Amino acid sequence: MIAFFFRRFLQAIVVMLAVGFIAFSLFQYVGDPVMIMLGQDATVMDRARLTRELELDRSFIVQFIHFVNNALHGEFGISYRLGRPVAALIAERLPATLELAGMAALLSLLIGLPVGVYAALRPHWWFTRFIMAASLIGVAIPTFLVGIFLIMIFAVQLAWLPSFGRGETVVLGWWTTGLLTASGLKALILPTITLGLFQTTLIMRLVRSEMLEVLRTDYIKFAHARGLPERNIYFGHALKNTLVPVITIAGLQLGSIIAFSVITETVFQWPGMGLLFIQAVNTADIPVMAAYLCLIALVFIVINLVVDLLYYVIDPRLRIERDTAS
Amino acid sequence: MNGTYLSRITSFFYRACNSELAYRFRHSSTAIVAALVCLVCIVGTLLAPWLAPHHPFDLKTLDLLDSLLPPFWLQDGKSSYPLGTDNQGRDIFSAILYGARISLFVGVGSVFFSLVLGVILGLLAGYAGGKTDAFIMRVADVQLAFPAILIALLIDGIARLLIPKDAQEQIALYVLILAIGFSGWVQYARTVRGSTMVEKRKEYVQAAHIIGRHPAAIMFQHVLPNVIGPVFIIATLHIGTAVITEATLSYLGIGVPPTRPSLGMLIRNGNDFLFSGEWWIVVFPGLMLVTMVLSINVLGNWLREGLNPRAGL
Repeated sequence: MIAFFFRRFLQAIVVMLAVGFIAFSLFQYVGDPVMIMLGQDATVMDRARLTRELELDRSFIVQFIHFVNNALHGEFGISYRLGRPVAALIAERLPATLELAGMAALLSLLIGLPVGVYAALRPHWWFTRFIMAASLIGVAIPTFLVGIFLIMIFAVQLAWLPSFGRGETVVLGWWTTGLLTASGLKALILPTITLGLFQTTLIMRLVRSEMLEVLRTDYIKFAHARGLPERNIYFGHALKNTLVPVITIAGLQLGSIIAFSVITETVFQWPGMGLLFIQAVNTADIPVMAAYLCLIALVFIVINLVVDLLYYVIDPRLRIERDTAS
Repeated sequence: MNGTYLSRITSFFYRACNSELAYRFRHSSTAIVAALVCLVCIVGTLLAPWLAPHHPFDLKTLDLLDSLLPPFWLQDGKSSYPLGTDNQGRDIFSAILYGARISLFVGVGSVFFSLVLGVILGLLAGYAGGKTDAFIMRVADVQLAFPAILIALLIDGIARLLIPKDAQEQIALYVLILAIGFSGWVQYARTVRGSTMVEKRKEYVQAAHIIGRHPAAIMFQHVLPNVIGPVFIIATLHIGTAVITEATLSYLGIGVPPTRPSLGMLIRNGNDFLFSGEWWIVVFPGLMLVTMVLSINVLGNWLREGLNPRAGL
């Protein structure tokens, strides 16, 4: 078991190093940082000095080690576009993205789970058919279009909700939150729906199919035969076994939500990391791009690692298979 | 020679029309409707230069006096611009036909690239086994941990920085195809690898091996035809995803160049006019996109269920 943890951990580090290498190569092949920082008119002396200061005259390997060391300390240099440290920019924008992602995840669980269970219990009910058809259409609508349609209806036509920004925010230490003001909450509604819609349909379909599978098994039939009350069978026995894969997928989807927030944040001009990243891509702001790349990779790798390890802990069958195989 | 070809083709059609799939198709109204919509979309986009009433990207034919006209059924609408015009006087209907053409081109192109890459890597992993297999599948696992759209976004975003500005307009479309294509090869590779590993143990492969055929020939001539079936079903469903990915990247401003707007780019352009009430610039390209993707997805889902022997249960 320790060997498995160790192998998995080592793999995560290799992947992280690979991503770091890609981020690092960006600096190498795109633009000339000395030129960007000093401008066209700098003297040869100034350039040579800055080149030495930035250690650009050292070998590739030394520079890469230096980069990794800096990245481990959370330093990615200074944004070309905004002229401020990248770490500070990201720390500033992190709360906005995390609040949006958290609310979207909550929405998808609160709606996806019960609707999925009911869709499995009553497969021929008109509402189930309607939901299944609607979810098929939902998959065909790209996230950004959902946002645009929501803005058109609720912000432009009805003028109920704001179409961009976070509203008023409250500062709590280093965290700025929009959850404590009325305008902040109102501003959160449309982006949350936009971001959460896809995940909601996903979780709903997943819960439904898992539940249908479980309901066909012998132990559920046997539970019926034993005369247990329906509620007990469905929610005590069936749902419990459905939840393991659902929790896995929901966990993995958390990373997707953060990634997809790039799109939602652009549509709603939400001042989060995703918007920062898209602006960086459009203006070739390499330090911000590199930092975002590393950060998002870290998020994904940590989530995957945790889910993998949890699976190993939760599901005893996996352990036995692996132990007998090795 | 000609006769055998002809009889082969006729017998193929004869078998196709009498197959169980064709029977199910004739009895499924959903599939027929989806296929019709698909067909209309494809024919419409292929014939765009002849069907479109205007040439929306020819600056000479544009008239600023005709800018921001509403659709023809509203006041001030002109029948020569059935779905209205944008801020530069471009006909929305024509722009949609041309835009859908680019969307479909990128979508199909990237799926084709994914398919080729995935099938080759899958065959290689399944047939060679050992270290090659472990390496390819490990890379696939890692890539699968990230959402495809994020990978396409990163590849495309980085590639744009590496390409000199003046060359960008010509090759942006192909860079986009490669970026989206590269983000989707894993599912093909996994499917093909699995079935290749099964096929590898069968007698016909061993026989080919014994008579001394080259491993590449065995892989592509003997194993490939037997593992390719499910790949096409994945590809059908993948086209919808690829079109959405392209639209999203273009909407974010890192997809197609502005001179060759796809549906996503048209929506991006119309986004600025949401608040001034010119809804038609955004809504019609959006509806076209959804209709196209929906019909492709419905058809793909139907195909998957129709060909899956377990679906009847």
